[in-house]
Amino acid sequence: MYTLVLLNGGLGVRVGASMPKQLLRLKGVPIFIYPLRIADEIDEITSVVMNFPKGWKDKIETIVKQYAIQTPISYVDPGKTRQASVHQMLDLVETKYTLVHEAARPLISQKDFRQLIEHKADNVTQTQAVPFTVLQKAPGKEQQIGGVLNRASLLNIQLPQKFKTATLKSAHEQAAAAGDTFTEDASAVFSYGDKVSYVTGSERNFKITAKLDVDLAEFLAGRLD
Amino acid sequence: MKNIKDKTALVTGGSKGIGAAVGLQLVKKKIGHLILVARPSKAFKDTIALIEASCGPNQKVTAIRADLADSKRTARIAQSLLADGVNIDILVNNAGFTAPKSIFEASFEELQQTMQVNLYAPFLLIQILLQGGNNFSHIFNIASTAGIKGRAGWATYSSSKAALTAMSEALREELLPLGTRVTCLSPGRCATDLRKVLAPDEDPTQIMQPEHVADVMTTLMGDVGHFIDSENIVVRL
Repeated sequence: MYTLVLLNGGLGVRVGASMPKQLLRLKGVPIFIYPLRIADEIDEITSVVMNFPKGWKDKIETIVKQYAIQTPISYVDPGKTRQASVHQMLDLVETKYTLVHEAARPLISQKDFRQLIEHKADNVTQTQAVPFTVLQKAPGKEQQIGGVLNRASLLNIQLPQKFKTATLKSAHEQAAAAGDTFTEDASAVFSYGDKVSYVTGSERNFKITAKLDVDLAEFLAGRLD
Repeated sequence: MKNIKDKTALVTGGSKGIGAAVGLQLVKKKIGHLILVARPSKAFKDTIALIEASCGPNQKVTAIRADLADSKRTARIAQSLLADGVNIDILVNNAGFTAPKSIFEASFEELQQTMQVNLYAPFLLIQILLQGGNNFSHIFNIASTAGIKGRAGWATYSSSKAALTAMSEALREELLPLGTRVTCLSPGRCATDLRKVLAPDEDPTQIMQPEHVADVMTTLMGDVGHFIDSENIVVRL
């Protein structure tokens, strides 16, 4: 069985709205409801752990009730960083496997979760190709190119991800003890010696970061996949 | 049309006309469970008997006797279905009411009753079921060409159907990303009892029959319907 750890605590300042971006609406429906509705359709997901932007818990709980989300949800206060948030949320995970996703990717489909659940590896991340050319900076030399990276050998790490819960918890414990910082969880699990596989995900499942992304998601939400 | 043998459909206004015709069609297409809602009448009893006679061994028909002019009763229908664990896959909001009169003669109560049956009842059924966790695959709202253009004497009816059409457009957008299709049909002149009230002197044999509308609906339930139902659909002879 799986717990969905849904990162929902961000304020989304880059979108520039009067409320956290996950409470904006696509086709009239709040953004954070979309992944919860998809989770409801997947029998293997038996629980959800979700955080919330400070001051928005009551509103979010009311909306969850209105949209009749069936999977039991545990709410967790937002942490100081993304890493701290996941660490805190993992305390409430009791299932063997954890799926990590974020509310700012509303156009996730059942297929995206299923691709991970049905994968034989314990730890799997969704990825996309790197769609641009990347060069390295020269260390210690101001505004100098120091090397060329072959983009075909690089991965653009996306969510959702699947982890064996014990492995993910252990990575977070080790990172906390060592004071290491990671921007996402596949990096942490890999860095402490566990294997992480990858799959290519759907392009629709993109992250809403800026105002333009909200417009694009609104457009795509009105079209069948 | 997709396999509907494990599906449940609820059709309001199921005693006669388009509701009874679509109920019969769904049973012939092997729907697992058909629920018809109508006011108690001999016609409703006869329709249930006719449809039951067409049922196969794994098909079931349930009759709910209720007047959708009563909003509390309408709400209780949805609440009971939720309490009984029944999931409505296909909802056909077909029940209609009209009292055609000029603005000089119509009463406010008649406007309220028209709105109650034609607009508020579909709203309540959809909302209460959704908020209770029901997953619809398809909602049909039966509007009318009278909602596209008002006609003298039909102010209450035309405005209620225009509102139902607009509500359908909003719900189509809201529910599509959540996996529910919303189709709005606007039949033109169709040989129903309601039509007899609107046009008492018309020969019903010369106009569209309820079975024709039911045929259109079962066609739209198939995948091809996705390519057709992005707008209000006019159905006329």
